[in-house]
Amino acid sequence: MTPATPSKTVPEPGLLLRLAGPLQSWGEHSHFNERDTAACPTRSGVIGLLAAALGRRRGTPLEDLARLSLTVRVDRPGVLLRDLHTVGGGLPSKATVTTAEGKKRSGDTGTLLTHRAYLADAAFTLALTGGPDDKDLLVRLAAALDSPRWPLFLGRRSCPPEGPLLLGTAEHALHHLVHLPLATDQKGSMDTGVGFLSDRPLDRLPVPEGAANEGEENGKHPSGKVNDEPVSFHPRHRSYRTRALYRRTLHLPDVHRALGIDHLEALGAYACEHLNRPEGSRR
Amino acid sequence: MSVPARFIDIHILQSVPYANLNRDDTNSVKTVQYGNVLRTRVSSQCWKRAVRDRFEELIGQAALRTRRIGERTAHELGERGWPQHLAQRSGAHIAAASSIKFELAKDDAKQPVPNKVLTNAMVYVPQAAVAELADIAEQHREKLEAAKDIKKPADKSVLPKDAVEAVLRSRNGVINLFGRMLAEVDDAGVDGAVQVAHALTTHKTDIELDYFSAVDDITNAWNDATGSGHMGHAEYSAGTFYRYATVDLRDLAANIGDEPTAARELITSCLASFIESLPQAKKNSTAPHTIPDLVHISVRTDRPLSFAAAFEKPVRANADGGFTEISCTQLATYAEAANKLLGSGRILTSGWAGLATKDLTGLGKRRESFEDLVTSALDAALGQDSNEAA
Repeated sequence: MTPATPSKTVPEPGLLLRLAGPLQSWGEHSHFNERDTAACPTRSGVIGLLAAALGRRRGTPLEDLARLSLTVRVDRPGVLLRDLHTVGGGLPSKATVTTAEGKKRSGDTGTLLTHRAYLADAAFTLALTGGPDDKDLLVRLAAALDSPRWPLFLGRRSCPPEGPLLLGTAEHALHHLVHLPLATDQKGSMDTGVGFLSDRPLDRLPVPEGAANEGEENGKHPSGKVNDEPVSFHPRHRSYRTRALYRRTLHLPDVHRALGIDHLEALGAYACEHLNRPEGSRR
Repeated sequence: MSVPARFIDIHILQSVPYANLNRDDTNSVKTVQYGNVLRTRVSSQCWKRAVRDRFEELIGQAALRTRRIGERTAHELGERGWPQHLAQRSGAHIAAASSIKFELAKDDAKQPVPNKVLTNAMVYVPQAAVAELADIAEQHREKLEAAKDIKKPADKSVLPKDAVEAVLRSRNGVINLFGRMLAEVDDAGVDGAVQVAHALTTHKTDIELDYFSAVDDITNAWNDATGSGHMGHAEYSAGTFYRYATVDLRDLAANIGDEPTAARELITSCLASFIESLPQAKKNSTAPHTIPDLVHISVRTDRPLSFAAAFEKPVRANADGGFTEISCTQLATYAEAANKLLGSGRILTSGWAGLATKDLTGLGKRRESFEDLVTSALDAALGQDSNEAA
């Protein structure tokens, strides 16, 4: 089931995570009453999740977490859901709260409408990798994700993750990112391929034989930029930086594909055989 | 050494007949795609409001969310026998005393009304705060008698900001459990201790379109014309929902302090409210007042764990129809697999209660009633003798 590790790639120690649930929402340009979502977990979202697991309050330095590299495998891309949320219905406009711009809403009804975008039915597998110096940090993160300081959520508090979040740690995390069971039952993903996204070049992915099609991008060069590198989560000085985005598609015919309980059992078998579980998890 | 309890997870399966508990902006039933099929959804915000209403009733405490705290305090002072004008001015000075910016309500001619202050942010305070704010006014009555009316947003209050903000910072059980966002007053924010997920059906659902026409009784009696008085359509859906919420015991302790008895009362009422509540939208049209088919509670030492993925593969009704039984079995199977993967030593206790006749081993010990289930979970989480729990 697990092909030998290709010798060309350099193993990077890391954590393997699973971000899946009926709803997720990874805000990108959220502004007041329009809350959007990116198509996959953002670096700021995942680093925020790690900080919450460690119990770091907003405004605490993030440099160590920001050093880590994030590679996302898109098991199921999901679909966009736009949810309408109302606040304070039934009041005339002048009696409602002031908007964040300091103005009043126009119109006869003062109900505040806020639109929140979610990613429904999506599932992602993540490798969070670091250099040799980051091993301590990765061990601490594994323990924290296993027993987090605050309940973790997928971008919004109403979106709890389903099932296991931390799958385990590995010396060669990217190898397992390619081979872990896929949370999908869509056989079509064998033809169209499975998407990978990262903040580092993706020619470092250990590619199983025949998984990369001739002429397809090898992920060596950035495909674009995204503005999701958190500089600070301080409530009043929240800021982000732009970073490069690398993309790659692999065709993974040998990887187990299933949903629900079948997927969970396949994951369990894989993790048990190949991944290290955090210390103290077998109480 | 005992392992500290951290999270109380509650999972509910509940069948709701033909209803529309939560509408979107087109009056349609809210939905979500999951496992490649469309399900009916009730948003977490919607169900949480139903829970909070019931919770306030159970613990006998209410909280006020309002911009009109000044007017409300003026009303209280009026009831204490203050002359009307002084009461109104005092209420305005109360509302103007905090760091929250304010404006004045306008009359029909769009002219600002003196002393009718609206705070720009909604305050969220225990009901008792009104009396406490009125007490502050009483203590400074002489100052207020000599003060000017509040006529514009730049006017300053003669009352001490510290005392007023201390009241705005005060909490009760509702705020300690569900949290509060109030950025304008330092340290008034409270992180809620309850996390509620969107509820969704365990299976594929269809939206049913109900066309209706209403009879005009006079036309009907006289029979002198044809046609109905009114017609339209409404949308409904039926299904078995999976509902999930978790209470973080450490966050609650951070909010209320080391008070096992108080924690026990709040969590008991919160779980009971989650079990008993149902959003009330269109209740007179459909009366969908069901109770849960199954409630499963586990007390975990590690992390909260949603079992939504038990239904990622949508359940299908068997030949006789019905989603409830198969949903219960599926939940138990998934719980067993997930707990095996994570290590079952992280569960302090788990149990279930419900209408099922079958044994559901994966969900722990069967309890007689929802009340027994909640009690046994809290006994394990907080210790039977609340003095020992510390």
